[in-house]
Amino acid sequence: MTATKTLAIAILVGVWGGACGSDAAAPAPPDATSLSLTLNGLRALDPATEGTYEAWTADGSGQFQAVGRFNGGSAVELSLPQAARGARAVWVTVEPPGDADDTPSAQRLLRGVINDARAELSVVGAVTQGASPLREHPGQFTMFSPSDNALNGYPSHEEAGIWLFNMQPRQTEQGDMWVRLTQLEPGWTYEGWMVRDIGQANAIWLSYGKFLPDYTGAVNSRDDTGWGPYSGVIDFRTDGEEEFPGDDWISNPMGYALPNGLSLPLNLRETTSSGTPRWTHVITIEPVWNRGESIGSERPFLIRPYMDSFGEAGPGIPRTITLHAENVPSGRAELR
Amino acid sequence: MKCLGWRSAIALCIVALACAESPVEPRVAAERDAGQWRTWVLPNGSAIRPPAPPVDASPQAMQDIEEIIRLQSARTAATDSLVRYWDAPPTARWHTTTLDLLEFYWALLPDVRPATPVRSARILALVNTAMYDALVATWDAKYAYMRRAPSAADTRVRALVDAGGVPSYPSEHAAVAAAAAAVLSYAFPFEDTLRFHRLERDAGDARVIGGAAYRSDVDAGYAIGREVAARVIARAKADGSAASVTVTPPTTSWAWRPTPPKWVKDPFDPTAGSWRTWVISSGDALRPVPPPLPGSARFTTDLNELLQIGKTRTTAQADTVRYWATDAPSSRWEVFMDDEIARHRLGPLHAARAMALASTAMADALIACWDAKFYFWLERPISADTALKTAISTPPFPSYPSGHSTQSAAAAEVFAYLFPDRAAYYRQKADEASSSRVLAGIHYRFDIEAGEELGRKIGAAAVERARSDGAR
Repeated sequence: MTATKTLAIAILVGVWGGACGSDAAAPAPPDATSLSLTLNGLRALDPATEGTYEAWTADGSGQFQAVGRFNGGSAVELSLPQAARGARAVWVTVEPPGDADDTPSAQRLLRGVINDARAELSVVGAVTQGASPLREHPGQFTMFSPSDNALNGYPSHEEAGIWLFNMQPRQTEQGDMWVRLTQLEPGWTYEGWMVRDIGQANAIWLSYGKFLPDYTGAVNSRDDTGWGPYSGVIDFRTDGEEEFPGDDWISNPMGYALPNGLSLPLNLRETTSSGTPRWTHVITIEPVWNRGESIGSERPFLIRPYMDSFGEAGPGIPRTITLHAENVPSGRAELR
Repeated sequence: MKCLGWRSAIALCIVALACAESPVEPRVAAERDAGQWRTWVLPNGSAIRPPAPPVDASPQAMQDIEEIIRLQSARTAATDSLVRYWDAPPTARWHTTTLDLLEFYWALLPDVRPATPVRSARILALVNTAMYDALVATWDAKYAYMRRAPSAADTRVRALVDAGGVPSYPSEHAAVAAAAAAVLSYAFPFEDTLRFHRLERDAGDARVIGGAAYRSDVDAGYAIGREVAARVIARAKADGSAASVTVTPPTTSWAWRPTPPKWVKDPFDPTAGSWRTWVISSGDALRPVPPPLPGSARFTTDLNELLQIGKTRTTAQADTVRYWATDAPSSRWEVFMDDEIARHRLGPLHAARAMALASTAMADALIACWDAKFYFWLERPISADTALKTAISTPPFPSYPSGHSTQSAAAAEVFAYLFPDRAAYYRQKADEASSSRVLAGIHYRFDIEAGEELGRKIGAAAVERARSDGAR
């Protein structure tokens, strides 16, 4: 078993155990005066555009008590207010830019139930609904450009499209065409990306839109920026809707300026001169306040659970969506 | 004594378990006369019997033997892998290849249409009948000539695979491969058809390297397969499916019209009801009674049921809907068939017969269903009430009767005949497939009831044919 897989399972098992049930574990020690947070994956936020982190405690009736704001890092020490002593749970939220109120935002990032003066913090129950962890095997994504096949025949510009559905359903856990994702709390949304040269300073993050699974967990409708200038179908003004999130990066009917000299149709199978695939498929989880981002200004948030090299496989060869738990924030809280 | 009793019991358990788990010989003995079984496109199994194979110790036979010995002495991991891959029932790999292709093209609908429901069923029937007839012709020749397998004829040849306990000439793997490759190339001309023929060559080579067939067995098998395929393709070209017709829906208020979200204007295969059938006389032979129309009590009741389901649909119900909406319904049943062939450890002829029977019944079911769909042209529920919440998109063709219901009922009857121990299970599966369309909100209940009745009649026609096809 790889270290990554072990870590993923450990995190998932840990958070599952910690998140199940109500916040009715052993309360924080009555004499605790500080909250010590050990955090993974909480990079510094831009206060002007991304807001700030804030720690909270919650009592048995779900009443929140603000503990303090911070701007990321792996170790954070905060003074525990008198009113927070005896708390049952610790939460970390992302407060939107300009927020100054004393109630937690809908962007609840981490949650942990206090047990023996400690709480294992995870996105389960904060970002995801109930006790549901992020799905380990959501399904497949597919290189495909459905909207120009009727026009140009098949295959046309298949290397210019990315769509979120199971091209080979029999290889999937659910056995059907629909990707399944964990349902999110109202403050969050999924967003799909194709990223060129991920990890490099000049990486290009090209969003194909935000989307949410339906009440069954199935991803069964177009993404909500699917009608953007160059996203979605070949011409969003005249063509019908697709039933899955994704884009055909074929046409640019409104003449939108593409980033960094990209030109359409894209070749998502593009490789470097040494043969390394340049494009990576990523699904992030974003605060819903980014839902109205203008096309081209989208930026990825720090929750990036699904990340897979696009590779050079042809159309119809399924690419499996892989959970990378190491790209999901987590942590531990200690009350001292 | 008590101890001995326990030991005996444990031993018995072990024996019982071993029996349950150990491979059982396929029913080859019951297939000895398969050369006389009724065929689909050939007049009979002996119609294309090849000339006699080279006699033992003849120069040709010795040349064949030396080739096997040479190939086996030069084995590599790659050739061993090839041998293992084809060490399977002769139809198995081709069936999977066909299903994979249909699964792929199903996802391209409605823009690219080789795998519409009725075309998927047609292709499966063509491939499966071709493989079956090729095997019947092969069995005719095998027992006419009774050639021993190479590994039995010369001790220098190693049997790397089980030759199946049947005479080696002609090679059944080669016959099926040539038949399937040619039919798939016809059905998917825009695919890399060379891939099919590479697979065909691999299938033959693997049997030679494995010591199960002489090269002359493989060549004779190829000849049989190609001849069968030529006849299947000739039938296919004349079955009416190539006609390109643009139809105009009736202008009545209840007539079918494009549905959201894609608003596809051209319905799938409007003339499929006139395509040539396999087990029934024609697509309109069993046409159901007219459906209830808007304004009737039954129509209102069934539409209201869908509106209610749209408000209360559970996750489990939605998952059932999606399961049956993924792939053409015939593909789902073909996968069930693979499971049953393995479960019952059918020999190659019985397996091919079962596949052909089920797929021809399903093809006819959809032809008959499409006849009714485009005879009655009934609107979809989403057109009757735009407030309806469907679980999946409504497919672009008229509502009455349901294709899933017709096809699944027909398939279930054939399965019930072939696998009586599982009859109840498959009839329940057919009910599930049928109900899934109501749960989806894309069919009225009267659509599925009419489809089930039609499908059962077609299934019965297929079973009637099976009862007299000579198989035991």
